[in-house]
Amino acid sequence: MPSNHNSIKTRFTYRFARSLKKLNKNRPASQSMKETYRRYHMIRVASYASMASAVGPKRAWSRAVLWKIRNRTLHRTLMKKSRIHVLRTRKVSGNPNDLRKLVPGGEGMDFCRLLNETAHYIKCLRTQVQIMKNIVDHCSN
Amino acid sequence: MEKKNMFMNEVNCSSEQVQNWFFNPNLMVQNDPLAGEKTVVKELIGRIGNSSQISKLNTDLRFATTNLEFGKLSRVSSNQSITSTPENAESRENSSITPKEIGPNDANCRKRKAIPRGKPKPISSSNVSSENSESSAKRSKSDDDKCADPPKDYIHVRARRGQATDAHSLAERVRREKIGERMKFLQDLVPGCNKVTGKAVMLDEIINYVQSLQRQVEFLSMKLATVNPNVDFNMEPLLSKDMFQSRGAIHHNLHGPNLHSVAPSRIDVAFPSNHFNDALDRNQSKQQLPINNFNEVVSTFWEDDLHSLVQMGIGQNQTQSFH
Repeated sequence: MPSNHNSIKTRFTYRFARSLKKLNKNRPASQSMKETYRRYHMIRVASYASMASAVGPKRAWSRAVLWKIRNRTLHRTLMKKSRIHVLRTRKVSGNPNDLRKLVPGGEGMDFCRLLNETAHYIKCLRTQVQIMKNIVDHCSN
Repeated sequence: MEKKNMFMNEVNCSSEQVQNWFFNPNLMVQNDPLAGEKTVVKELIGRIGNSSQISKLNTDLRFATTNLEFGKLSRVSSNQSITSTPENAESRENSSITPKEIGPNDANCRKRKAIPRGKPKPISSSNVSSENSESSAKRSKSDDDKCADPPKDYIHVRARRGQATDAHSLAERVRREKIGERMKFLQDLVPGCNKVTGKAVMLDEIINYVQSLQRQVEFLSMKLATVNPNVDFNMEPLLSKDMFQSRGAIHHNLHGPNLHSVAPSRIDVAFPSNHFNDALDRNQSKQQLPINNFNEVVSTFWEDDLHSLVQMGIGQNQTQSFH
C-alpha cells in the first residue's frame, strides 16, 4: 500500500518536526552532558511516539508503543522522586524471543502474527530513519 | 523396477497433473525426477505436438484417458520414432500389457500411500489427491481430502500425497505455509537476505536488521540533540528529499493539497475543541499556520493522547529508558 505509507510519512514528519520544535524551545543556552543526554532521550521517545501515532491504532506494535509511553509517563508522575535507570542489554543469540523483545508488543503473539508485525515495523522504522536523516541534514546545512 | 514403480505412482496419482499436461506439455517434463523416463515423456510430448499423426495421437489419447478414469495412466512406450507403424503396434502391445501390471502397481501404490501416514512430509510437487482416490479423476479432485473439517471452515487445503489428512496436521501445514509466506516477504524487506535460506538464519538476519535500525534511530536522535536547531523548520525540504528518494517526483504543495489528501482518509475525525491549538499557541508563535490547519484535520484520539504525553514528557526531567 504505497499511498498509505506515503501518508504515514507525511504524518510522521509533521508530528516529529512539531515535537522537535517544542523540545528546542525549552533549550537552555549552555548544554551540559546531562542536558544533552536528557534531550537525546526525549527526542528518541518523541520519534518513536510520532511514528506510532502516525501509524495509528491499527497495528499491534504501534498500540504497544503508545501504551508503553503512556504508562511510563504516568509512572513518572507518580514516582517523581525515584529515578530508576533501566539499562537495556541486547542479546545476539536465540531467535523468537529476541524478535519478540525487539518488536514492541511482540510478547503475546503467535509467531505468524509476529512476523506480520515485524514486516510493518521494519517498513516504518526505515521511514523513520530516513526522515530523521533528512532532518539532520537540513539542520546542519 | 523401484524407479519405474515410483514413476508409475507419481504419474498415476497425479491425474490433475496429467490433465494439465495435455494443455501444458512442459509441466510433466519439469516434474519428472527420473532421467530414464524423461525420454519417454518427451516422446509423448513430441507425439502431441506433431499434428501429422493425429489419428495415432487420438488413439493414444483415448487409451490414456480411459486409463485416466481408473486414476492411472497407461505405461508409456519407449520407442523413439513416431511414424513407424510396427513400433506403434508394439506400443499398443506394451500398453495392453499394462492393465496386468496395474495390479501389483496398485498394491504398491497403496503401500506407498499407507506408509508415511504418521509423518507428514511436504512434497513440493503439484497438488495430488489423497489416499482414497483410487477411483476416477473427477473423484480424486473432490473435497474428501479434508473430510475431517467441518463445512464451515473457509480454508481449503488439499492434502498432499503421503501426508496425514486429520485436521491437526492440515492446520499445522496451513500455519507453516503462512509462516513461509511471511518469511519470504520479510526476505524481500531485509536487504541482503536473498542468498540466505532457512528459517533460523533468516530470523537472525531480521533481528540484526531491526537492531541496526533501532541503533540508527538512537544515533540520529543523539545527533539531533547536539546539533544547533534552525528556528524555521520548513516542511518542504524534509518531505521533498525523501519523496524524491523513494517515489519519484511527487507534487507536494504543503498547504492545500496535502490537507485534501489527508482529509479523506480521516473522514470520521471529530474536530476537537481548540484546546489543541491553544496548547500549541502557548509554546509557539503564530507563524505556523499550515501546521495549525493540519492539526485540525488530523487530530484524533491518538493525536490528543500524543500531545498530552509529549507535554508531560517535556515537563518531566527524568530519563527513563524507553524500551
